[in-house]
Amino acid sequence: MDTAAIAVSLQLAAATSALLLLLGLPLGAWLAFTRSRLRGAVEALSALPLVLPPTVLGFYVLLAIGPEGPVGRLVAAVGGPGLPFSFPGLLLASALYSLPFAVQPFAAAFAGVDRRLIEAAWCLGHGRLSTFWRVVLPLSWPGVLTGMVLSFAHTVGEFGVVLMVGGNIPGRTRTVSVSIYDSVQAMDLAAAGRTSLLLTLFSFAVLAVVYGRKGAGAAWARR
Amino acid sequence: MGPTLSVQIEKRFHQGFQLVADLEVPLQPAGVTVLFGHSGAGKSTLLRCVAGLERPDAGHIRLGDERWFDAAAGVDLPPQRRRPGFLFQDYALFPHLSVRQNLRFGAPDAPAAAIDALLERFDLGALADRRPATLSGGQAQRVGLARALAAAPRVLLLDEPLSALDAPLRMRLHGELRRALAEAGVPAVLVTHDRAEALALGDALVVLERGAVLQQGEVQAVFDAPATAAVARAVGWENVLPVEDLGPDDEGRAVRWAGQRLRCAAPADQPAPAAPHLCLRPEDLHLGAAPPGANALQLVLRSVIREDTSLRLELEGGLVGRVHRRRAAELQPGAALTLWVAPRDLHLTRGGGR
Repeated sequence: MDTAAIAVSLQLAAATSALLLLLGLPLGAWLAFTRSRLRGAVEALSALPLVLPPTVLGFYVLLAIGPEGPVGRLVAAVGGPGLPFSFPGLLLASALYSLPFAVQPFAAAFAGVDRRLIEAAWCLGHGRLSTFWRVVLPLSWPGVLTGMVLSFAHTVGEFGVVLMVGGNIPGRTRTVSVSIYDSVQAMDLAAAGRTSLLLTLFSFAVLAVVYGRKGAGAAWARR
Repeated sequence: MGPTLSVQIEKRFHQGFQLVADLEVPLQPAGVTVLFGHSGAGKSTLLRCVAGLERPDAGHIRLGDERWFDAAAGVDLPPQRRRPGFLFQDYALFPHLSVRQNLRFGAPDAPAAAIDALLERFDLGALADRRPATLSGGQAQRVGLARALAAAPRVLLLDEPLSALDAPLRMRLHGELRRALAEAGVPAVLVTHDRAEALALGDALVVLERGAVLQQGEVQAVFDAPATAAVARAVGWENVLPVEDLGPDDEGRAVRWAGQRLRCAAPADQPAPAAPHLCLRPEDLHLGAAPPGANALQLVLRSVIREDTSLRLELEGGLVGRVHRRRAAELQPGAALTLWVAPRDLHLTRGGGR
């Protein structure tokens, strides 16, 4: 079993979930409460990773973070490291790829909070931010937790984006899924079988936890 | 008139519904102004516009000399700056906070003693650490009101405050809510479609119908002397009948309805109202021979409907009467009844709405 790959996958999944919590809360809140005409377009954009082949997403990310790409130039300008085939580059791609798995449950949970509770908080003098922290978020935590767990699990299971953006550097960017692919290519079916079984059991356990909790399942299914 | 909450707004909706409201709510002394009308009359929308939760298309809203909304000047203070004490229909208590934390929510800087005093005043001391889900409807209503008052609002806005409760409890709470509002000393605007609630809780009454203010005045005065036929129907006069004016009479005015001459106690020195309508409460129509000075009526009884402790009589010409149920034996549908009504119980009003 490739323990180094397991470690990379877990690190990547944890970092991706954390990054998506940071990005997903404001984006989810915006989608849930905005009356902007752009809402539909932004929601479609954030859901795009659900339908795009991972290779397409990976291709664009690779172009963007490459030495000639806008993100690559920006990072180079502030003295950052090269992103392609590195863990930070992989993290960026993973976060984009798992975005809908975090943002959609977040937005559904926020939108499900009784509107009158929000209005009551306004009348009691609380601004939008304070109302979000003190009323909306505490009442949406099952949906937020669902989004975190789903993006964690989705990141552990990804393959195409990882291969396109991260390459296959053992201990740095070689994740579990890539390791399984390598084992099969090398005809080491026993190793591939062990790692596959582990990944399957892990994924099942995560989903069982998510769907086992009634409230969270309902919040996700509402959309 | 002293400082007022002055509301003069217009708001248009899809499907052609339009709210046009113009009213003044006195702030001193702090009384209760009831916005009264059927559901769909625009009462709640008006209340939400005052709170800043909805934006009118035109007009102004002022509290004293403070501008809350002014379409022409582009002023529209958010609810956070208006800080009304808003009591929602189902109270909107924060389910993740205890009763005490709910009270604290709008008054984070209030001393603990002030919150404790408020809890005691609303008989919530024993419930301070409970979550809203464990409270009864009446308790939740008290928490909602206490929470609104904890934030020291300058005006209370109550949206059907008792409609979430069942009927017997609602009746019991009339007195309690009336006392709480009087003690609070904060001017209140209360929305209801319930006549009993309006009479029990209100000082002033604003009658709304299909988005328009029909009449505004002291509660009892509006109920007893509606200015128009539409107001009379809205405040529950069951008989509002078009009549023909026959001119002044020694006791007021004489009118003709269904071929019968009736005298009503209207001020004789005033001209007859346009398109005059006669208002009569079913309870004021009596069975039997008319005493001296009363109006006698001969009408065919169409049908009798049993109500709680009374019988509803549907008479010729669409007139409705109500008598105690022990008189059932005298009432055979199809028979001609001898009835009478005192002139003081006949109210003459003009037709139309405003």
